[in-house]
Amino acid sequence: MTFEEFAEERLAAVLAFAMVLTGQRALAEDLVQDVLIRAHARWDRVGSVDRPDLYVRKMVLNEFISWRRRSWRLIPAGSGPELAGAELLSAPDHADRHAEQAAMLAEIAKLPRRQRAVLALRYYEDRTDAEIAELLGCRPSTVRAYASRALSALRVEIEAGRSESPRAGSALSGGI
Amino acid sequence: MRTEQDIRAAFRTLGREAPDAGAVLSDVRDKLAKASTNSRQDVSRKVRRWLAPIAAAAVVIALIATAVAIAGMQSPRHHATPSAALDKLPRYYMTMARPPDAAGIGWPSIVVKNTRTGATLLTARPPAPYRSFAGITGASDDRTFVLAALEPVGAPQDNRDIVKLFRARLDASKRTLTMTPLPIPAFKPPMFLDGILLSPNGTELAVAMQTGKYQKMLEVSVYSLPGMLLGTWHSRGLAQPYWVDPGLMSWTRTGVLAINWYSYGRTNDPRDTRSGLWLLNPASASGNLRTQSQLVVPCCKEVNGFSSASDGVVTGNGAAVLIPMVRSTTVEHVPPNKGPSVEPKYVSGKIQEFSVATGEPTGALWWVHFGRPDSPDAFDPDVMVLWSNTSGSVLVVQANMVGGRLPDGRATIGVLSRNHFTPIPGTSSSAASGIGVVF
Repeated sequence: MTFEEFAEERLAAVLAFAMVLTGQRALAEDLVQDVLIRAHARWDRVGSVDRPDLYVRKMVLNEFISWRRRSWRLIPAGSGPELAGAELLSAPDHADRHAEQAAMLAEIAKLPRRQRAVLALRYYEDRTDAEIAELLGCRPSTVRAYASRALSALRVEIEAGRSESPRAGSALSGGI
Repeated sequence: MRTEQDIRAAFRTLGREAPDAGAVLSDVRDKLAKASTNSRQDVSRKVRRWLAPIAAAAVVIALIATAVAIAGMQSPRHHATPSAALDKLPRYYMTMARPPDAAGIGWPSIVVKNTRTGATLLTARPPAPYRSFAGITGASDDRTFVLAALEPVGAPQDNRDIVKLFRARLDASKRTLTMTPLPIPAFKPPMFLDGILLSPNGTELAVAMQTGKYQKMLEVSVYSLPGMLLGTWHSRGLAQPYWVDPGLMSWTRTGVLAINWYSYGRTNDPRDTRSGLWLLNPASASGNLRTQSQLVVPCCKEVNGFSSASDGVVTGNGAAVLIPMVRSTTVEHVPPNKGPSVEPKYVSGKIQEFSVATGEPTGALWWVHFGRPDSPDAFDPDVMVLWSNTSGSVLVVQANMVGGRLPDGRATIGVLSRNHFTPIPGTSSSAASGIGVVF
């Protein structure tokens, strides 16, 4: 598979995965751009593997977890999660459901990165714990512990949110 | 179950908000065109630097006190002056190693390294028909280990692997490990081995596993090291759980076992399921894990806006448990270059101490603030505690480096002491999973 073929056929899915990981469009763009530039530099090798898209996704995952980019901590006001939240709330017929999704994404954004990565791989990519362990370089039980901790935290926060005033429209303030 | 469904739905919605692929590709092409004007040498150097963390091998670390046993075995090429922090550790540690291009699951070999230099002293593979290791743990006598060897059966997703426990004895003079199968039946599906941990004196072995048709039940067994079953505790009787997951275990020097475990009930109320860090006295009668043990810190307890990031450990004296916690906050900020307003994300981390007696927070052992553009901090605050000394004043943790002394983005293992992190040489390309770290 050539780089151009990959971009044509697989890039949209990789961007969606990055969007789920980061929760912010600008960060997803930066993340995938950096990874693509690195992948392009050695595409002879990347393109020769069975699933170049999986290879690139692993690069995206590593980059996300690595905390390398200091600039990621600089989020332009009014962009990123705030934008995503506003768009999610823009359909009046589904306002309640969208508000709940925005609240859920806000809580996910507060989780540590490895926990968020495990949730994205498990519930967006539908990967098994063994596959996630392979991607993250840890044991399956560690994956389950991360997932358990994340789910427990989300249940606490979401239940607390449901018992309080509606959180629709609140800016998502995570993104560690 | 509703939470998982909500997550799936939210992720699907979020995925549809992804940036346009054409626009991203156009930006990439622009950057590639600019890069081509730079010298080929510069580009090559940058790519090599980026490649390193991607090739990081998964390693599980167990520190072992082999100071006398294999003294003099280190390579004469390594004369690095150890820091004061590393002097507080034993001279050698053990890891499970996995080359980046290794096939199959598990770690193909174990490696003993010099704590101060990272020099490899010994490498061993599992006995046939086992092909890799799934876990290791060591005792403080510097010679005794238990290794979990893995025999893959079927495809990885089939989850049909067989795991057998071996006692390993380090022969220092011959630089070999003698592995002897323990008289504990091999773990076969539907049993799933989750963790093993030797007590510091090497006399007891804790084994955590999931059992049942859908691996819904947690079972913790403690064996004498010759392999005699001393007791078994299970998670039956929880409030309608549909899943129970074990986490990191740790021992006190008085023989109390700390277990992180999580359970989900059919309701979303976590108070029904009581996830958190529990203390089990193996001298108690076998039976129900929940009634025979004490919940010290419930899962996901917040302390001043900090939430727990990973499993906790009990200190050697049994007086406290230590749990990594993180907090992120958004702060208004006007950059000095008068550009658009930005909102830096301040991410802070700490190791929170909780009293075993009261369950209340008693102090923070380590702080790291991350996120300020001018911050000199070079460590991801989202750390995992692997080991604590008796008092909790010296910790071994896994952290992600983000700059400074080691290449960016590498998981490394190091010593936290007096609010200072010192990487242990040879672990920078590792990703630890928190299995037994013992002295």
